[in-house]
Amino acid sequence: MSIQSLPMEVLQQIFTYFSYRELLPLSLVCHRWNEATVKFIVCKGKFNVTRALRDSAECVEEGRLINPSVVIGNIVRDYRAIMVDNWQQHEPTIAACVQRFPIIDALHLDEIPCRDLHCLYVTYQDWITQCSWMRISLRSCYRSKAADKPLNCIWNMPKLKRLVWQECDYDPLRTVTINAPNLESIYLKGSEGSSPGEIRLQCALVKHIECEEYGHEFPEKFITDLGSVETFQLTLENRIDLGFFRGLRQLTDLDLTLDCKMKSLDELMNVCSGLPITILNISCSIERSFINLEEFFANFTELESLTLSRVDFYAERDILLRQLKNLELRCVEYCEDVTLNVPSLTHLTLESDILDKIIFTNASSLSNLSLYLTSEKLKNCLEQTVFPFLDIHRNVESLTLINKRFRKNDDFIDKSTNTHVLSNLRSLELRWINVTVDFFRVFTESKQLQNLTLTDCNIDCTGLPDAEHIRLDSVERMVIGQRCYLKNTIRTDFPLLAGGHS
Amino acid sequence: MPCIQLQSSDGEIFNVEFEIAMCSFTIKTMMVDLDLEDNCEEVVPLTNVDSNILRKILQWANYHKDDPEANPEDGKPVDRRTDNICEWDQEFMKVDQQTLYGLIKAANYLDIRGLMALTCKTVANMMKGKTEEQMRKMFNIQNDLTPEEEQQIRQENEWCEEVEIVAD
Repeated sequence: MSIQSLPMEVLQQIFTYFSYRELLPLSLVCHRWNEATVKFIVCKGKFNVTRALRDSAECVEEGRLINPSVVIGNIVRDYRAIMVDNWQQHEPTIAACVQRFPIIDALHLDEIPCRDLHCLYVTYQDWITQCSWMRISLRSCYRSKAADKPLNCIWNMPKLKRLVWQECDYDPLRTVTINAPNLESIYLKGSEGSSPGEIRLQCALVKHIECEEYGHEFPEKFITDLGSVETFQLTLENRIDLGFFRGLRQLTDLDLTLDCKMKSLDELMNVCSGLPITILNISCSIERSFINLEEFFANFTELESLTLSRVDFYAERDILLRQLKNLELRCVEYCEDVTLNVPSLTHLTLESDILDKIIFTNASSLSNLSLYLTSEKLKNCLEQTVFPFLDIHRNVESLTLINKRFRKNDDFIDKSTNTHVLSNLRSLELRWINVTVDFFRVFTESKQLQNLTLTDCNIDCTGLPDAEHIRLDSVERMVIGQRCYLKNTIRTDFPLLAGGHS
Repeated sequence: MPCIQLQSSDGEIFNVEFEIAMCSFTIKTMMVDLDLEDNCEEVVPLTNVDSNILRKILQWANYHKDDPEANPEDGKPVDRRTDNICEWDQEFMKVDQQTLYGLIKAANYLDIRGLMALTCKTVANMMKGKTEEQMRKMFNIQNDLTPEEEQQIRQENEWCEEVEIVAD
């Protein structure tokens, strides 16, 4: 019996375990396998029409134009996702695509002059409205004249679920309205220095928006109904009026990157007050922000996960955060002694220099701690800040230590009387840390550690004979990154042995 | 423990615990349709499965009889990994290609989902990371594509890229 005796649907069931890339060699084995791969390739693959035309043009004699309808007409697979860019000879190209691929569900058009976009929709409306996915970038065409009609274009896209609209230098003379009642997710990106262009999206079901600056007036001008948005990723390069946030009545997940000056986050807190946000990330990249933590949490009452980067804060009273499970505070320069009452907190990520400035009470759920070590004196930092913190929070099972200021001549951390606080750990990850091999004896004694990951660490093997190993019997999974180096030894094998290995 | 009798294509009769036989949706449906659930006397003929393969399948089903039943509607993402085969199964799959294809066909016919996944993953692992030529050699396949056809497929593979979001 040979593999060829398996029924087609069984062969295809085997092929379901392959990624798009892995499928390609299968298509070249024989007729049957090629046939079996087609449905997966056309489902996961996007046919780049422009590349096909360009490659074919290179094959014919110079000076002779290739005929798009011949090249496209010869394509064997019935692709359902089509990409056209660079837009030369676009009229015959699109006409050939419509002819060859009458049924599509995704269309990616790059660098189209906007006037042509109008014509395209008018000419091939039935073809375009099939799409559930579209990605469009427009090229401005200042040469366009008011006489090139239509000026206002309305697209009815009943099936559209995802739209990517980017780098659109729109023609100031024209507007396009996309009527997409079933649109679920949008990615919008403006282009530098250009007018935003007139696009209106009429959609009532959008759940997800990703948006990078779209001129100065985003995004309520472009999207008619924001009431169903649940996740929103926004990058702001200019200060804009944030009043539209009030309309995001279903917003649960907000990811905000501020590339502009917004010294106080008061305005944001104001407009977000009462929204059901549970996951919030705020990252200030140009200028630091400063908040009163009490007021902040009074406006975001539903938070389960909070990440703040380059945001300083203070608080006058203890703050109870009943629901907060995940807290990440990065690049804090200033914070006054703050007490957080965190009965639900399980994951905490901090930099070591504020570890002793915040007091966590009721933190018995805290199990995962990640620390960015910022001190130049690594050993002192561990002994005086990190280990005492672990001594208080004995339920921490998973610890990640990342040395932000790594230098080769850093202290090597060693096993000491204080390292007993690590004996509860089940999982440990060290990155950019110099460590002695002796340090790991903590875990041969504790017999608790199950996962060990070392990345970019130097390991000093002084004191361990070259033929001997330190056995970490409890460790089930040990990952050693490529840039871990052994010091003071001539051995070539790794001095630590995880359990179950001889 | 109630048993039923399964007859392989070469006539051998296997006495099988009811619970173990039920891993096959085909047998399950047959029992319900024929109203055999309380009748242990009846012999169920499996005309597409020989005794060697049936013996292997029963061995597998016996080992996995306590596995939780996978419910396709419980919202879990479909398992598309091939590196998650347990040790017992890996050992069980150390068979020649003949037996392997026999097992796939039988698992398909008997509709035993766990075994189908296991055998498909095993074959997928044999294919992964190989060039088309290596695969032809491994599975003893004649290349019946003309040079022109092969060139066209090769080019289309070049001209196609993975979509960012796979349409439903």
